[in-house]
Amino acid sequence: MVWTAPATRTPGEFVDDADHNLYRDNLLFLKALVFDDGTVAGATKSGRTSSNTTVNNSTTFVNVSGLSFTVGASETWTFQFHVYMISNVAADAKLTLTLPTTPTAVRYGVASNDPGVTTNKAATAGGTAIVFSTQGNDEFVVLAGILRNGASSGTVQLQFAQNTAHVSNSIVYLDSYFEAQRIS
Amino acid sequence: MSWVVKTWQNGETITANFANQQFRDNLNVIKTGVFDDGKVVGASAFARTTTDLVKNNSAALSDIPELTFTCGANETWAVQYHLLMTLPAAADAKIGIVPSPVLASLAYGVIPYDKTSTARFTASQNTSLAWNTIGSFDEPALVSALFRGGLFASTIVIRFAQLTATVADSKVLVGSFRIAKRLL
Repeated sequence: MVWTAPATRTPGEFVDDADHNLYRDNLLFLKALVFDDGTVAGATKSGRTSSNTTVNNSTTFVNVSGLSFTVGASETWTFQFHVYMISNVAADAKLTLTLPTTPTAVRYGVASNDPGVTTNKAATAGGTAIVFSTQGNDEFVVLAGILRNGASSGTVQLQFAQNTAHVSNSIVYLDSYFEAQRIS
Repeated sequence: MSWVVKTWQNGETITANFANQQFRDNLNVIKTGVFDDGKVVGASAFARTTTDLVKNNSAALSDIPELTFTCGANETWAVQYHLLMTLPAAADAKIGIVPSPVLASLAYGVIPYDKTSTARFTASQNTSLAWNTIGSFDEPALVSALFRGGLFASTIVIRFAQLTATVADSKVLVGSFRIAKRLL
């Protein structure tokens, strides 16, 4: 599809099917830059948490609201979750991702200086817990990876929990965010 | 809203339905990828340092002027500062992010090569994050931030200093850079 310089119309000019089809082709030229969900090809899709996600006395993963994005069949995405959190030293913390069913391949891992990662610095399947030894201070973690999706569309969702159930609030804070880039 | 391709025929009547579908809805699909000011959703804005910022025997924060960023009113931005640094061990290091006027909210965290001494992230608009340095080689640090603009545009500077005033050069090196992406 090529771009044709739009015509400048004059009063009384007849506009025929060829003119409309040129207009259509110019729109198709621009449309190639935007996927149907509004994501711009090669640009970054983003989202953020608009409230805290709190877990207390539970090791059951919960969704972190706002930190998810949809993936179509056979699409490939890279992603980075920037997570601001806190968890009691006795509770520690863990993160994981849920994914569309039967992805072709996935790999994700974490960059974190402190808290230290005690289990699974990286993972190759959805649901694998990445466990942090927390210090009870405000913590910052980046979880990054790549997903080559299979035949099923679905959602990439960040989840969070305590690693040891403890009666205290473990929190993923407001304004944590993610970035994702569709690369094919 | 979905994208519909139509091939026009010679002599065809342009009905209201077709006009709305082809001239309004298809344009709106493309528009989802573009903000009202013409900026592309998810596109990146880059900046880099062209000179070293040197601090010697000073714990007073200094701007890294080339990485200054403007957050428009009511805009939300995800921003990463990739700082390349030379940090003497005795001086340690600290950074701060200061908006003027204040934002609706701000959160940022740091992952340095060496361990942070206390908090790894903050949601305060007037504080700094510090970390302990080794000093035997140049070090990178990732500072990740989310800015939500208030009623007015805000100028945001990132600042750097020694944590403990030490007679030695602490540097943010040339080639440090900032990547900013505006969220929907």
